[in-house]
Amino acid sequence: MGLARESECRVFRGLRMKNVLIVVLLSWAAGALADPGPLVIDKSKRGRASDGDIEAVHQEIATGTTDLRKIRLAIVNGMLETKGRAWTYEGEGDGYILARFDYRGHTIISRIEYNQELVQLKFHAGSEAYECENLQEDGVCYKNHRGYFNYTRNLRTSIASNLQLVSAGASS
Amino acid sequence: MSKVINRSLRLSTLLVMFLVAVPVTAEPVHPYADPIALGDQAVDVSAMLATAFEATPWTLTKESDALYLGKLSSKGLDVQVRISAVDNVLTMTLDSVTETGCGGNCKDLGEKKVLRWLVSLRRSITFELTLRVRDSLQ
Repeated sequence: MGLARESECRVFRGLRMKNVLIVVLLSWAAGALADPGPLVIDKSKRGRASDGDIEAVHQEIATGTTDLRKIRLAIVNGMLETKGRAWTYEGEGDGYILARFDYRGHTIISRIEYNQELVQLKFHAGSEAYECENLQEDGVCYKNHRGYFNYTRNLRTSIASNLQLVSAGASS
Repeated sequence: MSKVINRSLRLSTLLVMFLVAVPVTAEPVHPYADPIALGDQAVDVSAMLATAFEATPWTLTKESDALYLGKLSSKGLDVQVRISAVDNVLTMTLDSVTETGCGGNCKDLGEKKVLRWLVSLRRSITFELTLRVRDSLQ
């Protein structure tokens, strides 16, 4: 009887731990694979850049079209036509394109997420000076070198301009 | 029974606290050795590398469909890189750096210089790839 109860408890404990692990892993995976969505800045987080800097990089962009091919083209055109040095293609996956920026020995890699409604830039990686110092689970970088916000802001602006062209073409 | 449940709850809470406390970290970046994923693009690797190399002082030699060599002689250094093309992924590795003498113009030579050349070569390849990705979408 005692042995049976002990093994029952062990099973119960194992199941509980397993459930907790599954919930935690799923919520982490959801964060890591997050779709583009409205930017919400957590004002309670300390050690972050100004809201304006964060918005200039991570604010979502309305696509203006549901054609994913056109959205991808607008993103790649945006990478090539950005102010200053072009961003280069670093691979892609389901719903995102990786864009790389190498300049003066430093590197930034942005993960440009897209769906039929929105495009949003997320931080993917950075070398030394451009490592994000306050990276949120949804890929929004709250604190980084000034250069990160400047270069990535230009990329976002360029992609937004190209999406506007697509949108204008779609409505005419 | 309740002791076991309490212990289980405590352990679960500790585990959650530990996982929440672990900072979100990004992928590591290498200046030139990060693999270049060609993705689903139908890319003619030979042609793409040839065009990419034209924009640089490097010379390209094709050893096989899966292996290319890049060579550069500059400022008293001979540098050779190996570019492998396997499973739609290009990987660049530094093969050798040999000093050939700089005729009195030895300043600013060394690792940093070679690193800049390698980064520049990789960027030239990925820029060419970006153009091809764009063309495939038009």
